[in-house]
Amino acid sequence: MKQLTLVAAIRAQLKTDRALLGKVLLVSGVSACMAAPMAMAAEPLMDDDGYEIEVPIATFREVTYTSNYEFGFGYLSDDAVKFGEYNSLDESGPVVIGNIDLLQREAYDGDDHARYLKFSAKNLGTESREAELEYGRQGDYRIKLSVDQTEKQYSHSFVTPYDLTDPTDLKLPTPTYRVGDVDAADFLKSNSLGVRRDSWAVAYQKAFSKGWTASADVSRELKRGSKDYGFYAGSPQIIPEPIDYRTSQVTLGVEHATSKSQYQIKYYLSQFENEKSVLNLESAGNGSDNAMQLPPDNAFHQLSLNGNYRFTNRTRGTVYTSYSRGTQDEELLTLSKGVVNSTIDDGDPATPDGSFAPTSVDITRDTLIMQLGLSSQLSRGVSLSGKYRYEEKDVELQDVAYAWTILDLPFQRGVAQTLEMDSEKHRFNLDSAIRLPMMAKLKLGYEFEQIERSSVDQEETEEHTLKAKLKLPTVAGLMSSIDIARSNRDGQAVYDPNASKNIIHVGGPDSPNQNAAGSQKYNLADRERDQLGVNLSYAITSQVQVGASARMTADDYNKAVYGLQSSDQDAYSLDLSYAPSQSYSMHLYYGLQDLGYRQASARKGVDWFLDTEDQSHLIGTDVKFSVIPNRLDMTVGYRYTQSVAEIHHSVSSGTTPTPLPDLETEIHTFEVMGEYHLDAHSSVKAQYLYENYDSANWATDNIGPLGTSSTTYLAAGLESPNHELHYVGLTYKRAF
Amino acid sequence: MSSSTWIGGLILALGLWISPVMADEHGSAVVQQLTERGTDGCLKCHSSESNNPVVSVLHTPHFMAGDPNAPVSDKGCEGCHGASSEHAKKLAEEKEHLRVPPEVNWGPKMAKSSIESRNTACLSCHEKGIVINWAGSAHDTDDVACSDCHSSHLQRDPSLDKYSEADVCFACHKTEQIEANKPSHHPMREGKVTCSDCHNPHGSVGPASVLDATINDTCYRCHAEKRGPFLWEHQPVAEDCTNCHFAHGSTNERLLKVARPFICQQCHTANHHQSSIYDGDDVAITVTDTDIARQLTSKACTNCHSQVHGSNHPSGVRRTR
Repeated sequence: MKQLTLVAAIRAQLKTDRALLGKVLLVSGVSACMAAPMAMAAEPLMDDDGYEIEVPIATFREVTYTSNYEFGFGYLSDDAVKFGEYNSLDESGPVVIGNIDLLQREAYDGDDHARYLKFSAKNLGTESREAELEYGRQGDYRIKLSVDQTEKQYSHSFVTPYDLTDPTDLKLPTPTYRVGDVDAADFLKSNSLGVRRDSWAVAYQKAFSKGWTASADVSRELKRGSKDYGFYAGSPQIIPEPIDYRTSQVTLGVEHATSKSQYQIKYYLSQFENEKSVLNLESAGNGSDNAMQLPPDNAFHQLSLNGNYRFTNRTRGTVYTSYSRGTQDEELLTLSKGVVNSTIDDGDPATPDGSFAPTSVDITRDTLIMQLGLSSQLSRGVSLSGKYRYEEKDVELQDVAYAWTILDLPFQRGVAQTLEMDSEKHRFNLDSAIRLPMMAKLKLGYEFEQIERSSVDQEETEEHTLKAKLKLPTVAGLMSSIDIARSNRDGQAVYDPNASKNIIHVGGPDSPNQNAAGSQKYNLADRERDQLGVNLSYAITSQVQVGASARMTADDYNKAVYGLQSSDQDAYSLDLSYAPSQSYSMHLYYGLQDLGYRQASARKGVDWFLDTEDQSHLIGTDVKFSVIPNRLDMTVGYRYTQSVAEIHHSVSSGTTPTPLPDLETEIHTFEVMGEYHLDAHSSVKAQYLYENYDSANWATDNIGPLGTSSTTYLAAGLESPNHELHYVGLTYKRAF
Repeated sequence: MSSSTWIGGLILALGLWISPVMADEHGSAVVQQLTERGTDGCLKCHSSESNNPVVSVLHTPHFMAGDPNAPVSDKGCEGCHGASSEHAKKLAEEKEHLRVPPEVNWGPKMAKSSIESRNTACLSCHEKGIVINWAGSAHDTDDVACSDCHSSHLQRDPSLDKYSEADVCFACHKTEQIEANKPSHHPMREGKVTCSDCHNPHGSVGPASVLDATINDTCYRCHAEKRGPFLWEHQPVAEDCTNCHFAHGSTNERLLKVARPFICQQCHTANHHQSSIYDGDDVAITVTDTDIARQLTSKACTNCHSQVHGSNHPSGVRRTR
């Protein structure tokens, strides 16, 4: 009888929710959402006869409250760019914590409106805040508004002599600074480096009768700030690249869905605009004036059809086709900046004449994709599917051959022919699956891919893959599977400088810029790939579960004399879950990823090899438990990450190279959080986090901002991150 | 081929064809009817303080009565679970172990219905929108049930929450969990990017279930400045971002597979500085700064060849401008 009363009470409460929703909609403000429930929460659960019933507090919370807000303060003990890389907690000191999560739906036994409202706002006190509002009538329409702010921190101590007053026109200080000036430290200023993305999005969807739906999504993102950028004129310099991007995206869609078929037609537009298209700067290397072309504006349009049709209950066909056009017509840099002295070709790249005339290149890249699939359930347990995909990229670019010279770097010159990197891809898949007793399953598959590339030295590759996966019978809670695959790629011919059509660096086989004879580029090279995967999951009891997995991929670039020779990518995992009750759970996990690469090259007749061994360990645990039932809940988490990349050289003859130090990162993160429930609808949360981040990177460590001779460069003083910090937070949370 | 090979092959094929007949089909063989009391009857046993609580389902989209497509508007719980008259029958406590599951049962305490039955219950309404490519998707063919990721009884499904979604995925995708915790990573741990920002777990027309038809088109959604087309493309870049970058995390800066300059030297072997040996004698940790190799330290090759993703400069042939 008590249970029946509970159901009635739930209904009553849900009706209150409906009233609240109406109120929220009328007031149409978050403040109303937060104020209204306080009165509501004071009402006890009542059954139909008006008698108060005793309901366990957990149930009371669950059936009564669907929303909450949380406000408080946090404090970070130390400055730490890496800790605040994305969460904006990069500077020590206090921070406001603010989160709102509102969810209101009309009652399940209510009238026929089916309206709902969702609002969430997270991290309101930081520069990485976000909010989302969604309102709709379920089954009819919905509208979603969202805003997001994300910071990416690069450095707090980016050192540069440049005057950054105008980030697109970098001026050196007076008296003139040059890389290698021994007293240049006086010129150096420390800056923060980072970018911030601000975006908003609106999405609307409307359902019509007979299975039709229309949707429109619009978003816009502003990305502003600066990041480190390499520049060479007399000496390499790490300078701040100004970022001021705007990306707008629009998706319009129409969909029709029935039990027999589903189709979508979509139009997608992405438009990229760079407000700072040119970076002018005076070189700290040789004093020359330079202009760098920053990423050009571009646009991308795509029209697509995606659908499937059931011919019978057992046979289905799928179709996808899209036509895309990418365009770019940014104005090229004028010659007056002294960066190019080009002449247009009369047909022979070796004897260019005339000027490089175009003010822009008006490039288009058209992509056509067509994909057809057919799958059939041949019998109750046997299925077969096949899929064919055709993909064609067609680049239209002004056909120009010209001589080029960077005037301040006269040794950087050559004759170049513009390249249209067209490609044509065919892919065919055939897969079958056979169900076996005791939930076992055998899958067999074959895949063929052929890519033809039009551009010079990028020829055809063909790859065949055979794969099989066996899901073994489930026995006494033990589930397991094993999968293998073998691929063979017939790649480009090994590089022959005498036969090369590469005219980027015309000069024949003796040119120092021709690749070594016998080289292959790894994305085009002949390759044999073997893959093996094993998964185990064992439910020891209903409360205890263990899992283990292993994935191994071995690539052998067997014909490449120089270039990547082989690579191995292995990963292993172990995890244990223990959940004896709803108020206690524990998860322990360990993962190891082991990556290995071997590559070869030749220098002055000496072959050399480089082995990279990149190993990462991840160990962690999460424990949730109730210290005082229905009153004090705790979560404790610890995570340890170690990533080490060892790099070793070896040579065919001569002096053995000196080993490089390891690239190493170790991160310990410990977090404990407690939530004390003051009453049925309010609680206090306390959080403590400790993180120790220790890394070493020979690429940046000890380099310093500048060298002491002109043979070195302006390095900006970037160091690998290291920090040890504490973070505490205290918030008040109220459910409504 | 010999006749024995043919016969052996025929027997094997026949065996594979017949064996599915023996494959198990879970679920109750008992014919059941719709219950008279519907949801009220279900909640009698499945209240929050029971061992099988589902009360929070009342706050979910499935229980929006005003939506004619919501299960509750027609059959309540049985809209998804199928007819359950026998399951709901009163039983003496000592016969509780004989209770049959609902027609479509997701477990955990009673035998689960077949994957097909469970997923069909969901797909009969949801096979559209982002689920349009479910059939034949990686998760479909690997027998992943909708409920393996989704918790449809909860007010807030963790798999639909940006801050908890990745943990749902990591329950199976362990390699990606390791990578996401590496020093160079997309901000998944920080909750600013989540798996479904790039992948559609319900299947897609692209490789690795990425949102768009190609990997690069998916990357360009956030990195549109690298889309081009450029006057001077870098072929492996234009073909596939993952030729050089890991998507989920890396030991190396900028999600690179191998540290610079070595990743570049895996293709560029010219008898110039491209093929020089840069070793421990070229870094500041071991030598004075006059001997530091600028091709090895800081941004290595991209100290000078910064336009590695493509250049729109007439003199950008070598990607230095």
